[in-house]
Amino acid sequence: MEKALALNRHEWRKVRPAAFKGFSLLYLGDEFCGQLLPELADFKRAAGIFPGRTILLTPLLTDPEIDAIERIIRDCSSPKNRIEIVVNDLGLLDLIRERYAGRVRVTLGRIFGHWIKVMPPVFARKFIKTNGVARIDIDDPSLPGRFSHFPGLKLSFRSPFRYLSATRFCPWERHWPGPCAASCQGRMTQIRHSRLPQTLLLKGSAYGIRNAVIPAHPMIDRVVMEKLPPRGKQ
Amino acid sequence: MLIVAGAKTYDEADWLLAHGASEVYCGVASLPNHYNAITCLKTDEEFIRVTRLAHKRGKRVQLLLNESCFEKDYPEVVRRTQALVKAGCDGVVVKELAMLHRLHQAALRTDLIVSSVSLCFNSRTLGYYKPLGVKRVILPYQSLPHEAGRIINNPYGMGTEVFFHADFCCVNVDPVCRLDGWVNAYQVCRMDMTSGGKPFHMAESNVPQKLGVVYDFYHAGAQHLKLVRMRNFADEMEVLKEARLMLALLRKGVSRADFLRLGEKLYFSVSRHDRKHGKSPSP
Repeated sequence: MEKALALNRHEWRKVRPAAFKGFSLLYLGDEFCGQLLPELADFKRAAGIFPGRTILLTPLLTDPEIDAIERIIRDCSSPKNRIEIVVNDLGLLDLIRERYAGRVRVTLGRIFGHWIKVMPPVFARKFIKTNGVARIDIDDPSLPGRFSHFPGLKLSFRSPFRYLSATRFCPWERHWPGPCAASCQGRMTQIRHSRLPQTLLLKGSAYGIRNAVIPAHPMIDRVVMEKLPPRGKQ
Repeated sequence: MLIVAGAKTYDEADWLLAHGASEVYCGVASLPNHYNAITCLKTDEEFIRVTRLAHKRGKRVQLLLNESCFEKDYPEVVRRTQALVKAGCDGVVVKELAMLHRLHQAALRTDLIVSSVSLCFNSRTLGYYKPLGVKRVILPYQSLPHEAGRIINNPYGMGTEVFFHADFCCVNVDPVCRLDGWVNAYQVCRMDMTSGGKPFHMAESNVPQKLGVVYDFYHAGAQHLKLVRMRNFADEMEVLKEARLMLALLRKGVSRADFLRLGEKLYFSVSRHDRKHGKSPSP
């Protein structure tokens, strides 16, 4: 079982190498907020410092964000040195298929994974093959069975934060995407309501719950861990 | 900018088309639809009647196919869609990639429109849709004018449609949100929650931020303004009147500051907004 550590841009800039112990992969970026994507310099530095492979983690993307990711692909990949990218955006997926198929390994992220889940199976198999998708990230323990009809596909399990919702309107600074003061960093809000089955968490621009138990399933061969801020730090 | 409004019945479509909507869009019960059956026309025949009514007034009608469905249902959905297109449906709003491919293969003589819930946030995605004959894309309501320039000015000739007052939609990115399914409730995002013993509401833009988005999309060149289907049609009637007045201000060329100032008064002419913000009714 591979173990990956997930860090966003700000976490990466502060992390100490001791934190890498036990992890062979680094997921660098964020699946829900474009402000937390690494810059080219961050990605290059990670590739130099982190002892294992660095994987670029991406959310739904605007045009300038796609441009920035294309710069990372151009600078940090080659046919002999393919990079892995976690993709949640159809535009990025199509760009990779058209121009960078020989330089990029595609993993679909948690958002895209839900779209694959509801595709008609025949279409989905062709879509996965055409776009060179080798892996899908999930965080819902009930999902592995939904992907069992895709031969050769691997699954990664994200833990301990299972996302349930996300917004592009920053919940911490109350503005649309733009200049960011990174107010979300190191903070997490616990939210309650009598109708919620369990405490809801706000982390970055995503709402979710804890999913500490990693399901045993033959398709899952990678666990992606992230550090949650301590309880009470709101 | 032309107004595109959602209708749940023939009578609603009649009212909307008579009061400023250039197009109406409708779901039909038992065709895959992002909302439930009560927000849909009841039969294909009712949709055809709406189409005739719109065409008599020189206006257009879109059919919603903006939800996924089982593969076994695809042939029937495509067959019924073909019949509705033959009867005059001007555009079909599609969410699923597989359905888009199927409708493209069926060579329907209608405009294929990409739904907002397909989450197109960049112009690169349009490159995927272009070979499928897509004529228009509805931007997700969390897409912003300053990010959407290349989508609006795309080289493919695709039109763009944007939301007016997303506060009748969900707070978070739809359909990335799974809260309603988790709790088995409608718009969990709008519940009065608590955090640390204090009231907590999921964050959404304030009134000037909402109005600024409308102003900027207008000046960025978006062609269509979308009004969501509202459960309470009285709300939708008020919002349509508000949208017409706001568009009149924009056509008149008011400054951004004046638009926000005047727009805020118009915003609170909608009783739901008044209630939500705890304001007393206007004198």
